[in-house]
Amino acid sequence: MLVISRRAGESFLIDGGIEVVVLEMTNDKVKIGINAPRDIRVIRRELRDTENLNLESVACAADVDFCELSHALSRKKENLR
Amino acid sequence: MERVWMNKMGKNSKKGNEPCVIRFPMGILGFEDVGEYTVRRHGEGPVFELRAAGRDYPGFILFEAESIEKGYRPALPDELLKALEAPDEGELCFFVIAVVPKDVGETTVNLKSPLAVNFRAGLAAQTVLDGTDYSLRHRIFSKNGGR
Repeated sequence: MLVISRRAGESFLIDGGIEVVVLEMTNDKVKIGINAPRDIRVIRRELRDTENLNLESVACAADVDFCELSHALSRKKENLR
Repeated sequence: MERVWMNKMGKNSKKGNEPCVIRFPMGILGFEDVGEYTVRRHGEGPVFELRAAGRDYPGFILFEAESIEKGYRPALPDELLKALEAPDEGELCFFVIAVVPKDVGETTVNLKSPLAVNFRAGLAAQTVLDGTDYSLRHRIFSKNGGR
């Protein structure tokens, strides 16, 4: 992974056409601005991960053994008592 | 959990297990072209089935979020509350999508990206929470046989 150190207000370029600007930094958060052509899709990583998990959930849903799931939930409930 | 579910269903269903139609105006991530689903409680527990209305695909297994994480009531952005016609989060039910593999002991839920449902308005949305430590793959059964 390429690592670049930047201060607030500084930026870097990707492939010449995409600019990533560090706008603001607080203790545990960085605010970033992205200047990119409209056809470049910019999303938070968690969105793509969620999309993949949704697809995985659908793939599994047809074969779910509800009896086994109910038993496992009952056992969990009993263990918590 | 029963009380929340029954109250929020409102007059759409007198019994918790009756299917209820809800609209996802923005779709669900990965299935943006499907806007209408039926949700049905499975048995007496916290498990629900969400299926595209009028057809079986896509279908999801959901858990009532509160049953997994006590006190789960994430703050949502104002524009999302407005889209769901909810004055605040108290009007909403939160569900989490599960991945239930053949070995159900390996079941995980996505606490980071809940479904927020306003049963009174028949509206719902999946949102990806920002600035929380909730896991995308939260195991619901412990590994050492504690399930």
